[in-house]
Amino acid sequence: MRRWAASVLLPVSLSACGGWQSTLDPASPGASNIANLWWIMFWTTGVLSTLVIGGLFYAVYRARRHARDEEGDRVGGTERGFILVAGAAMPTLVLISFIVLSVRTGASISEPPGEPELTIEVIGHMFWWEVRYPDHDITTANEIHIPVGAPVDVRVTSADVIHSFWVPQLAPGKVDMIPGRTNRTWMMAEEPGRFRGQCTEFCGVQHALMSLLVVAMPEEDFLAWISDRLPGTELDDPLELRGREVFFEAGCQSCHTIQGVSEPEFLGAPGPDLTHLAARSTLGGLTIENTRENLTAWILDPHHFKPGVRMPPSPLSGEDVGALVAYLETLQ
Amino acid sequence: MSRELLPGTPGVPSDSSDSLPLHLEGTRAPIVWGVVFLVLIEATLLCLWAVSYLYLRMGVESWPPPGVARPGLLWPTIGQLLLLLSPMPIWIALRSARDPASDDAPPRMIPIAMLLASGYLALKAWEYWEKDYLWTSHAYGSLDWSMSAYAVFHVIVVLLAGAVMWAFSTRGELQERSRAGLQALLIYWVFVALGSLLFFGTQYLVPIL
Amino acid sequence: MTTRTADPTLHRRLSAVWAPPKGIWRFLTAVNHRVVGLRFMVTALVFLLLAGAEAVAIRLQLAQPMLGILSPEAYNQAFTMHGSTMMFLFAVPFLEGLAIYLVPLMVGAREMAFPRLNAFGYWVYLIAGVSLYGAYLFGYAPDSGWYNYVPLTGIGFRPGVNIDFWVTMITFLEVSALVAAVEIIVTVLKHRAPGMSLDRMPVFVWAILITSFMIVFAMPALMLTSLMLALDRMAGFHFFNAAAGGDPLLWQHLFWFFGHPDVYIMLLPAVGVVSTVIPVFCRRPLAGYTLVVVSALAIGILSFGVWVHHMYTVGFAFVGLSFFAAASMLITIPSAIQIFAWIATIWNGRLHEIATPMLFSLGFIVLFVLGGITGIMIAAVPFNWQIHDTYFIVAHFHYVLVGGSVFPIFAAIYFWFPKVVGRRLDERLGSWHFWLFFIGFNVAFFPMHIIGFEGMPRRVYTYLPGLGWDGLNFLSTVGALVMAGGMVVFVWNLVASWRGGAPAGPDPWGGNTLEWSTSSPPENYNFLLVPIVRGRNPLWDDPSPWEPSLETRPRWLAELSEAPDLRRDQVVTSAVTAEPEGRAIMPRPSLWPLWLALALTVSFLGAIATLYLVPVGLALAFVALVGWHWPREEKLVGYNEEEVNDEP
Repeated sequence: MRRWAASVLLPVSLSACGGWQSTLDPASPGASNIANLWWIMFWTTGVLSTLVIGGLFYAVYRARRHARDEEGDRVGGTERGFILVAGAAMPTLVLISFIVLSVRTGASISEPPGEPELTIEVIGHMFWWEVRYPDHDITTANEIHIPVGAPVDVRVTSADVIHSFWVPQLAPGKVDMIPGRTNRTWMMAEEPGRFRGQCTEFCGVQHALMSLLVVAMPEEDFLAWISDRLPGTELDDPLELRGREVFFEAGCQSCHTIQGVSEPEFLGAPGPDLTHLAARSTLGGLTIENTRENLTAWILDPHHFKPGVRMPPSPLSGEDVGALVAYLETLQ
Repeated sequence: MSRELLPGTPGVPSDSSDSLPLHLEGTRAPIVWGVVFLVLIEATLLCLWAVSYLYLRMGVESWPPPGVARPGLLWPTIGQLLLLLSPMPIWIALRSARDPASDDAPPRMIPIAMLLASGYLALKAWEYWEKDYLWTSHAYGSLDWSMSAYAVFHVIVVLLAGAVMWAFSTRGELQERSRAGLQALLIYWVFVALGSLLFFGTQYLVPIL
Repeated sequence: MTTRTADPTLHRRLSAVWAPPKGIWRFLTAVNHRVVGLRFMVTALVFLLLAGAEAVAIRLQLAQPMLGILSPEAYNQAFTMHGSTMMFLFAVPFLEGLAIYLVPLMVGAREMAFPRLNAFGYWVYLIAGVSLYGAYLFGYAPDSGWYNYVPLTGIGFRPGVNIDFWVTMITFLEVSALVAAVEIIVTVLKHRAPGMSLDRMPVFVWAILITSFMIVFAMPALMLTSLMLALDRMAGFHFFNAAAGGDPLLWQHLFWFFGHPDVYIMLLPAVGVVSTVIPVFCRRPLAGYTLVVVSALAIGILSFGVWVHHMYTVGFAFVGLSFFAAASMLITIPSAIQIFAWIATIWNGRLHEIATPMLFSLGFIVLFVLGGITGIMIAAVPFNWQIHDTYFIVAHFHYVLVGGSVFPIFAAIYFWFPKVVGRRLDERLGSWHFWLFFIGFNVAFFPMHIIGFEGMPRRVYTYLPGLGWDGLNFLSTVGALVMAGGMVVFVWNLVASWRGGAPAGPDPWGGNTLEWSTSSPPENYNFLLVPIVRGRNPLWDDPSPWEPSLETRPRWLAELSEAPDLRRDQVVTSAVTAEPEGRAIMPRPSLWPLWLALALTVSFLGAIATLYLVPVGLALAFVALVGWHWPREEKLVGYNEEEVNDEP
């Protein structure tokens, strides 16, 4: 295990239990319906396959006995009847019920239970998620905040290769993010909490650590979170002012946008928007916690944490990187 | 001994001192079956290609893309007709001479077939010389050029095969051996003509529909 | 009647006429179906070991979170090569090799319909496989999955030659699969022994025939789409470029139109093996022969209507998906019919010994049932939306493919090794192999179902701790190592038994199909006399296929067995009823197949360097084809019967 892993990995406390990306611990109507479908199919096929395998073993036992007694080989029309009943009639009944169940489940989760009031756009990038709240003019990355108890409309696409959007506990399964197309899905959290999502379409060298955090919060907390996301904080600390200069000098803005700060020609740069960086709890798409030390280390060498990530190492002096981090930490 | 093996049943020499025939043709010849399945493979490929064309066409509003002229019909149609006619002489050669020993039809007929197919090639070359877009221009160009290139490649293949077969036939090799080789050539040639007809329909009719 | 002692003169003449060449020429020019088939199988087993080594590396890397045994780049190459090797370089070629070896023996023929095409197919396979692994050796292996989705594999996101190797060599490989399919079809349809009408054909041959038809219709989709990708990458075409009017989903449609049938291409012959092994050990004919054959046919046809179930999450309307869900579930029915046909066969049979082939067949049924039921589940669209591209899928398809294809392949190896080598594999080592492999397999792959439910995606080179995946991943790695132990036992068994196994005799299992009437290994000519088939189980039927004897056969029939002109005569029969139609002369050893394969290598491999090499290769190929078809006598020269007769 790599040295840093134990010290800087996301603390386990982030999740109440191990299963915060589990499909069988649903927290939304969509995920629950699918889990129910699974349990019905599991018990049905579990019983049937036990019978089939048991039948196979019993047949072997019989055939061994026949070999001793020189019996058996009573081949006849009954065999064909048995094969047709067991192999065609029985599966047909089971399959029809599965298809009916599957269609009902699918129809019930294809659309959200109510008219969504909030729309979120998620755009896949190698290897992070751009998150936009078009109604509130907020752009952030890798973390989505949603209100509890209301369906949220999610529109996904990709800026480069195919990714797949998957928050197993909240969404009705996954949906691919395809360049040139916009796919729709929805999410809904029935209780407040932190839920994990992950890219599920292989998207290149760092597909493994392309993760996503969804924070479901009570309506009023969510509204407060939205109103707190204001760009362009006034700076007075000289260190922070110096940090903003480093942001320009070191060329950060050619990839990263900070609303109200970036020069106009750099708006819409290809890397994650940093306008609300300090409001995020993790860096590198849930790879490490967003602390001062981690942010410093990340800026100096992101490949240490996430090999293959597109951000190059930044050979900044200790002074400059300290100032830069101090500035970045003001970006609420 | 089972019934079908008794002398006198179809396919078996009636006189038990006879031999089974050595030079087979038609559905009796394995080579003919082999070519039929080769054609089946390629036909599957062609159909999927045409379906891919339709699939990409369905994905966009205007086809061909804005600014690209629709393909002309007159000369391509003439070229296509030439290619459709081109296997005919081989078919005639196979029909006219049933007696392999005195068969001089193949050496006379194969060059006519090759001439007709060459006409198709010439018209294609002229047509694409005039095109104002390339395969690198857009997906439409990619489909158009690649499908024509595929058709042209196959015509070249049958021309080469025809040339080899003609050389064999002038040396008298074909007469001694079975005519299954010529049949195989005919089957493939007809496939190339019909396959390019499928592409013709796709490339020239879909844009004007 | 079939051994060399029955008619020494005839044996010597046929043996000389059908002999493969000697020395280095044997290696370069042999066309005999048993030589080529064995080459296919041995080469495929080498690739199996390589793919197994990659699997072990993958499992070691995933044993614990955040391990650094493989870099992300190395991991991505490893999982890509593991998948590509198992699919393209092991399962399909091995089964083709098995078919090339066995089909003529099973249908009573002396050779495949197009022996040189056969040899050509092998060279292409060898060159493509070696090229892929050569690239791997130098770090240029493909690294975007065996399914190679665009636009990740487009030149924009993956410059360099890694993907070029996949695109060109996989296309090249398909040439090999396609020519093998054509010649298997024609051999089965035109060279069956007199009397072996279609309804008397061994069920393995049926499975191979159906599989070959599937290859004919499925592989062109892969050839087309990889050709398109090659053009996109190497010549600036835009088939998959959304910005220029192309569509990345076109790749997925075409790939899975090939990819799903491909699963059954690997499964059906394996199922045919099991349908052959079980009746022999149960000392009775297969129950429900017609039902089994019709089921295999139904699977073959249905498999072309289900490709979209690999694409449930791309955003299609739910209504359309339900059609594909129903079609996917429908495949369960023919599969279930086969399973119950095997159970019925055993039920009324007499099982004197559960030798290793039977053990692997029984293990196959268990795993196939388990993989089948998860298959039904993931055909259900909503469940698939959740579980797609997680480790649940990894578990599912390993149950289907390892359980459904690799286990029967092992059964086939233990079953037919005595025929091919003349010696039996060791039964005790065989049991060890089975139990290590079976237990290791379940320990490795069963936990993956749960890991998938816990949310672990596929194709990740590592994962963070604290997600509940650690313990089961470790267990899975332990299982993989146990499987690797089983493979070590297997290889040891192969090597030791090849050199010093117990002599097998012509028919160690009491088989019902014609191959067991030949000596082990079979003589150059396979059968001294052309057999005459009167039922589904020629060796169990009465009278035997060697009646009437050579002396009392009618002239036309005796002549088929005698090679009167010192040429490789083979009987041609009608496609359905197998009535004799004529004689065909099979070609003698030839260098042209190797030349043609090398010429096309110049085109395919050269394309990676520069497209100008493509026409060069095609020109060389034209030379090969002219030489190939050049009329020649195909007669054995310098054979003196009198002289040879004097030898002991």
